[in-house]
Amino acid sequence: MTGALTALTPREFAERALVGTLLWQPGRILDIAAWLDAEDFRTPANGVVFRHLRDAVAEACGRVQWGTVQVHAEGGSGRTSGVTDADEALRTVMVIADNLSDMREHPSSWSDVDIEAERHACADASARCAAEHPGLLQQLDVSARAEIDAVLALASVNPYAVPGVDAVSLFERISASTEPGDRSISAPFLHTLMATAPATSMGQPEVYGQMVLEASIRRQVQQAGMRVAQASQTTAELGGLLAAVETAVNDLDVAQQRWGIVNDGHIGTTSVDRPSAASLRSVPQRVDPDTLASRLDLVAPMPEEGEVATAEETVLAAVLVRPDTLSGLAARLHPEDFADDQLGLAFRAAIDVHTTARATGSRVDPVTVVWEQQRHAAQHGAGISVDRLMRIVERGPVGDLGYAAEVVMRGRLARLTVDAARAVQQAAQHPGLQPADVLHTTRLAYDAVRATVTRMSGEPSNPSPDAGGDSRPHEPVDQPGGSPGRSSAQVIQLRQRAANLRNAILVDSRNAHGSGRPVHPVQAVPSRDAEQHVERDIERGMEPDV
Amino acid sequence: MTETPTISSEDMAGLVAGREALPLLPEGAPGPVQHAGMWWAIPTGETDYRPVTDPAQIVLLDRNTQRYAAARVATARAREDGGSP
Repeated sequence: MTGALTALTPREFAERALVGTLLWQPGRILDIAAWLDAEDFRTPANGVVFRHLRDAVAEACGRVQWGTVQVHAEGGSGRTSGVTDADEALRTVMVIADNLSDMREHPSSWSDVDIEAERHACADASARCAAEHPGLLQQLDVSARAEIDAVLALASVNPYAVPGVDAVSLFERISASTEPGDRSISAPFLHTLMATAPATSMGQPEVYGQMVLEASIRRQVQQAGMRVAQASQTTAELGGLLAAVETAVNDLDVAQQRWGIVNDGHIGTTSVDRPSAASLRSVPQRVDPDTLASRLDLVAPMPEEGEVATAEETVLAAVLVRPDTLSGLAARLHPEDFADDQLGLAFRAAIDVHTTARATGSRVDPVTVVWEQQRHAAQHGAGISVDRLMRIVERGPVGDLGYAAEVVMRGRLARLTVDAARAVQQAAQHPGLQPADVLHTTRLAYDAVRATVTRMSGEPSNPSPDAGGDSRPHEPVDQPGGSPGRSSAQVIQLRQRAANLRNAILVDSRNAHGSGRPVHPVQAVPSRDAEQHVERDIERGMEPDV
Repeated sequence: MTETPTISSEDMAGLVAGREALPLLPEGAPGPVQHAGMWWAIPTGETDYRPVTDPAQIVLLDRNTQRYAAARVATARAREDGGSP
């Protein structure tokens, strides 16, 4: 087992093992496909491979009789093989034959995976060679034909091989697909699947399929509003990460109490240790994995960087195509959750447009999003370019929006936890900080993780009566419009009023010029000072006062 | 107006153990269960079983029951065959 595989969750391992085993033994898929759908896979990429493999085998079944490896001299039509040159096909067979000969002579130097791969490749290459170039094999000399006969005898060990269906042809098939989600499948991914599968003789695809189906049924039952046991989900990657955070917070509580007792005789008397009344009200509650499980997949592995990037583009593409999804999504997924700042800003703009749609009459589409983004460029940054946004829209969502949003959230949690750990480490090593400062910094860092998890789970977290139910007490979040305590709609209204006031100043100054009245220096131009004054009021969340 | 019948999770676990109720998934309670000719499930956020009356939920549970049964048959057949054809 490689190090990479140890990070797999049982559910992901079962999915990969199933697809990997079926890549080795494609003949077993049709029986499984009678009761397992591609949509049953939690990870969309695994479902894509399953779907294409199922279809490829079904098509192959319509062409040839199979059940054992058959090298037939006729047919071959409809194959998408890249082997078109007779010499190349023959060379391929001979190279593989040499390898298999070497395997027989030096079996200890070849792994089971290599032997299986060579057997499979040989069977396929021979079948293609015989089908596309009948009579070619007979041109070989006697020793070569004997070798190939031996090779084919070895290949017949795999009774579930399907001529014309292997990893290479499957990759060609997926690459030629026009489905947006299919383009994320790479050749190394297929190789990884095959490497994940147990040896062919040990593989139990029906058992793995049953596991995948069980997990899918649990998800469906949960989504339908019914409870289901979570007993099998105990080795969570994300759950383990959150448990580590909770352990750290508990240790922190003990440390703070001991520090207070040692220094002051009672707990928390230093100004730094003593939390304000507001912060006490807004401290996020303990993260309860059982509560979160229904909203966030705690058994999912930490997403990789590329997976997060794809998921973020999918979320943005999906909300642009179906803006109504923003209503439910915006409460759990925030712009700062995006690793790519440009995509986060575009998502923020989409939320703002969607939130104010009733008042402004405009709805979310690429144009309104880019426009809204531009309006706040000075405040938040330039954001995504039109070209990139259009490419994302044209490519469309890759897979399921819910899954993509969850990948983005899991990625955010992973980064946030790493940042928290780094902040704690830096504080601990800083010579100028007192222990109370370090404890305080640690508390803030871990509470940020807690608050984010609580928000993503969709559970309300200790709403503060004074804070208007703000559930993000410690998250490092920039409020839309930069005005704490104000909604996007309110900020936009204030900005509109400010713009009107600026226009009034401008008109007033022009009238003054035209009338010959003496013009005060401040009024001679649309007063920059007055503008800044208005902006400051808005930033402070106050009504502009001019 | 008749009150909706409920069964506690513990009682349902007893019915499952006594084979008077058939769970959808092997872990049994608190998951959906077939009992007395109908589906029972614990709505999210509650603690007791209630009869499933939503037609969409019933279709979902029936379909998945059939699929899961087919999966078990396929697994058993593969085991009997020793993984060979």
